[in-house]
Amino acid sequence: MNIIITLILAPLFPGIINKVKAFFAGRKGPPLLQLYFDLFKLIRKKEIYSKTTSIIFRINPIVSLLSLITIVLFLPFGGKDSLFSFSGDIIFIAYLLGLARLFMVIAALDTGSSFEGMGASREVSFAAFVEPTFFLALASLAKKTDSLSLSSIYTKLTNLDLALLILIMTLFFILLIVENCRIPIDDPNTHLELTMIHEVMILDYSSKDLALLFYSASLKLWIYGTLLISLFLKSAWLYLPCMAALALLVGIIESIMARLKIAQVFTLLLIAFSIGCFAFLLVKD
Amino acid sequence: MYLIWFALALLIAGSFLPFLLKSRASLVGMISTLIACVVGIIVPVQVLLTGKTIEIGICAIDPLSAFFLTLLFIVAFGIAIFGHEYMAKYNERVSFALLNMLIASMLLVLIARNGILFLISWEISATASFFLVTFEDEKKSVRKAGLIYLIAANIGSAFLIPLFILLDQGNNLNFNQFGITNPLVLLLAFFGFGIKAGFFPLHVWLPEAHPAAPSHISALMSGVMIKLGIYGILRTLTFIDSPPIWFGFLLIITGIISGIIAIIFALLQNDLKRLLAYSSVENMGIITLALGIGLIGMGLKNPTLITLGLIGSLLHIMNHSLFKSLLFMGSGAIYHATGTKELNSLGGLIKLMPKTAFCFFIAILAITAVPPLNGFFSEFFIYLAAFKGMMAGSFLCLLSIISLATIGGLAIVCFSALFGSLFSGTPKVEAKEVGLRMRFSLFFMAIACLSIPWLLPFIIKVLNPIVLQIGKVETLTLEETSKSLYYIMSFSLLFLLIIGITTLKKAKKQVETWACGFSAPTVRMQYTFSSFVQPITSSLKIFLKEHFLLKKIFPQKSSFSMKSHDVTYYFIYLPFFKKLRSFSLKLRWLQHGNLNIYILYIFLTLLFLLAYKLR
Repeated sequence: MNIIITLILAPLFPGIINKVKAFFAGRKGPPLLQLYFDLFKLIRKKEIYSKTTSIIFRINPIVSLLSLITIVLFLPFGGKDSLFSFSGDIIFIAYLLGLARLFMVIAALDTGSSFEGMGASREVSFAAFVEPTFFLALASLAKKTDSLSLSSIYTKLTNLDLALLILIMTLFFILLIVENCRIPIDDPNTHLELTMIHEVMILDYSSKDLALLFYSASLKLWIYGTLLISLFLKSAWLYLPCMAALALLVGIIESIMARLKIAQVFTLLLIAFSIGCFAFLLVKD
Repeated sequence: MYLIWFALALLIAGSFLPFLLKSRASLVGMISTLIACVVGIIVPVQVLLTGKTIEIGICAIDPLSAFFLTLLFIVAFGIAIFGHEYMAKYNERVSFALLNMLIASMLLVLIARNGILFLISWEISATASFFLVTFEDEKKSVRKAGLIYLIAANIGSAFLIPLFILLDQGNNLNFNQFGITNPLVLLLAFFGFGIKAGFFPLHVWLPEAHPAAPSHISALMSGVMIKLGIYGILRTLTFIDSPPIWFGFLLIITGIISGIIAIIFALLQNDLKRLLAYSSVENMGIITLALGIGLIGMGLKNPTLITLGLIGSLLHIMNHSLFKSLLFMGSGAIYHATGTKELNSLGGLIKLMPKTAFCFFIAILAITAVPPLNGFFSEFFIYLAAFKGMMAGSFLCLLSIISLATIGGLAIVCFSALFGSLFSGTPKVEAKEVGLRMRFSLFFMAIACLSIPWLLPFIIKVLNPIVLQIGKVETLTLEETSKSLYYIMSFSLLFLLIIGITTLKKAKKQVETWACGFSAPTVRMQYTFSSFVQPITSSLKIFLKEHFLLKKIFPQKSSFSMKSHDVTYYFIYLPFFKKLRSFSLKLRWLQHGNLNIYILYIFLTLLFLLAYKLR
C-alpha cells in the first residue's frame, strides 16, 4: 500500500539531494542509498546518554516518529485518498508537527549545552512565523475546495488556475526549505555554529535514537514534498518521479544558493506570508 | 440544593473561625475549604447531568452557573491543599479566612439572580482578593500591585452598576426581569466584565496582581476569578435573544489583539509569574475570540458556527482553569523550593524536583495545545469554528485563523523556553523537592488535565443546555465533529500508550554532554529564557518599551539589568492617572480636616436630597 511505499522510500529523498549537490560540486558523492546504510549502521550501535538529560530526551525520538507516521496516515498519495481522514484533520496535522517540534526543542535544551539551545531557539522562532503561513495556505485551499480534510482537499483540487497554483506551490516550497532546514536556512552538512538549526538539536543522540531522528527528518521532507506535489499531480504513477524531480530541485537550490542571515530568514517567511495573502485573495469570491 | 447552602455556610464559618483561633488557624480554614468544595460540587454536577435549573429565591443554579461552579470547586480543592503547605512558612493566621471569603463570594456571584446580591458578592470577592494579593505587604512592589488591582476592580464595578440599572425592566433588579432595550448596554458589560477578564487595553492589573499574590491565590485568581468576567458576559448574553453582530466583531477583535500582544509581552518578561499572568491574558483572548465567532454565527444564523464557537469557548475556559492553576502552583512550588522567581537565574530543576517537573511538563503540553492533551481539543473546536466561519465568508474569521496560528506559534516559543530554562540542563540553584501536600495538588491538577480528553464526548453533551441557553441551538449539529473527535482520541490513546511504554527504557551508559566536542560546558553557558527568545523579541522591537540599565563601567564592578514595561501602562494609564491626580489636587482645599465643616457637608447634602425628592 501507499503508506508502506512512503515509509520505505522516504530515506531516498535526502540521498537524491546529496547526489545532486555532489554533481554540482564535481564530486561523485555518496551513493543514493547512503541514508539506509547509515540507519542500519546506527541501529547496531550501543546507546550512550548524557548525564544532564532526562526522560524527555529519551522519548523525543519516539514522539517525533509517531507524530510523523500519524501524519503520513493522513497524506494523499498521488491523487488517491489517504488511509484515514476526518473533517478538521488539517488542524490535527499542523499540531502534530507542533508536538514533534516542542519535544525536539525541550529535548535539545535538556542537554544543557548552549549549541543545542541555540538551534532550539532558532527553530521555534522560525516556527512562530511558519505556523500562520501554513494555516493561511490551508485556509486558502479549504476555501477553494470547501472541505476541511486534507485528502478531500487534494482530491477536489481539479481545476486550479495557474496563478493560484504557482503562488501556493511557491509558498509550500519555501515552507519545505524552512521546516526541513535546507541550505538557504540551515546547512545539513556542517555542524558549525553558523549553520545550526536541526542538525544541532540532534548532536547528543546516539544509535537507535539517532537513527529514528534521521528517519523522521526524511519523513518530514517527504510529507512536505507530497503536500507540494499533490497540488497539481493527479495520477499515482507519476508520483514517485515527481518526488524525485522535487528532490532534484531542492538539491539544485541547495547547490546554487548560500545561507541567508538569520534576520533575512524572517523576511523570507514574511514574503511567504504575503504570498499566502495573495493566494487567499485569489480564492475569495 | 441544601448542600450548596451547607457549603456556603461552611465557607463563611471558615472565613471567621481562623480569626478566633489562636493556633491551627490555617488547618481549620483549609479543612472548611476542602469539605465545602467536596460538598458543594455535588449540586452543580447534578444540575449539569440533568440539565434542569434549581431555583431558591433570589439564587438559582442553571447549567451555566453549574459549569463555572464545578470549575471553582475543583480548582479551590487543589489550591487549598497546596496553600496549606505554601503558607506554612509564613506563620500567619488569616490567609485561609480570606481564601474562604473569596471562594464564598465567588460562589454567591455564580448563583446570584439578583443584581444587588451579584454586585455585593462581586465587591466582596474583589476586596478579599485584594487582601490576599497584598499578603506580603512589607514589599513595596506588592503594595503598588495591590493598589493597581483595587483601582481596576473598582473601575470595573463602576461600569457594572449602571449596567444592571439599565438592564432592569422591572423594579427590583431580579435577573428574570432583565432585558436589553438598547444594545449599547452591551458595551457597559464589555468594559465592566472585561476589566475583570483581562481584555487587552484593560488588562494592566493582571501582570501586577498575579505575581504579587501568593502562588495558590494566583492560581485561583487566574483559574477562576478572571473567568467570572466571561461568566458575566455570558449571563448578559442570556438576557438578549439575538445579540447584535457588531458585538461579535468587537469580541473577536479584542480577542485577537489581547492574544497576540499578551503572548509577545510574555516573551519579554523575566519574572516567572508575570509571564504566566500575560499568558492568562492571552488565553482569555482566545476564549473571547471563540465567543465572538459564536456570536457571529448567531448573527449569520449558522448553527454549526454557533455551536462550535460556544463549545470551543467553554472548553477552553475549563482547560485553561485546569492547566493555568497547575502552572501557577508549579511556579509556587519552584518559588517555595528555590526562593526566587527570576527566570534567568533558575535552571536545571528537573534533576532536583522531578515530580514537580513532570506535572509542570503536563501543563506545558496542555497550554501549547498539542495532542494528546486537553488544550488541543479546545483549540481544535475554535479552529473548526474559525475555518467554518471563513468558508461562510467572514473576513474576521480568516483573521482569527491567522491570529490563532500566530498565538500558537509564539506560545510554543514561550513555553518551550519556559520549561527548558526552568527545568532542563544542569542545576543552577539549590532546590529540594516540595512536600506531600504540594505534590498532591500538582498531581491532582495534572490528572485532571490528562483525563479531560477521554471525558470529552460526555462534557459536550453536558454543555448542550448552556449552548441552548446562550446560542439557542443544540449541540446535536456536531455529528461530523464527533467523528473527528473519536479519531483524535484514539490516536491520542495510542500515543500515550506507546510513549508510556517507552519511558520504561532506562539510560544505561551516561557521560557528559558531547555537544560537538566542546569539552567543558559550564552551568552559565546554558540557554536562559531571555536568550532563548532573543531571535523573536529582537524582530518584534516595536512593541517594547525596554528599560536597559548599565551601571558603572570597567574597572568598577558593573551590573546590567533589563526590564520591559507594559506599553499600555506607560503610554496610556500612567499619563492619564497623573493628569487625574494633578486635577484632583486642585480640589484639595475641600479636605481640610475640620470635623465641624465635614458635618456641615453632610447636612447640606441631606438638605439637597430632601429638596430634590419633595419638588
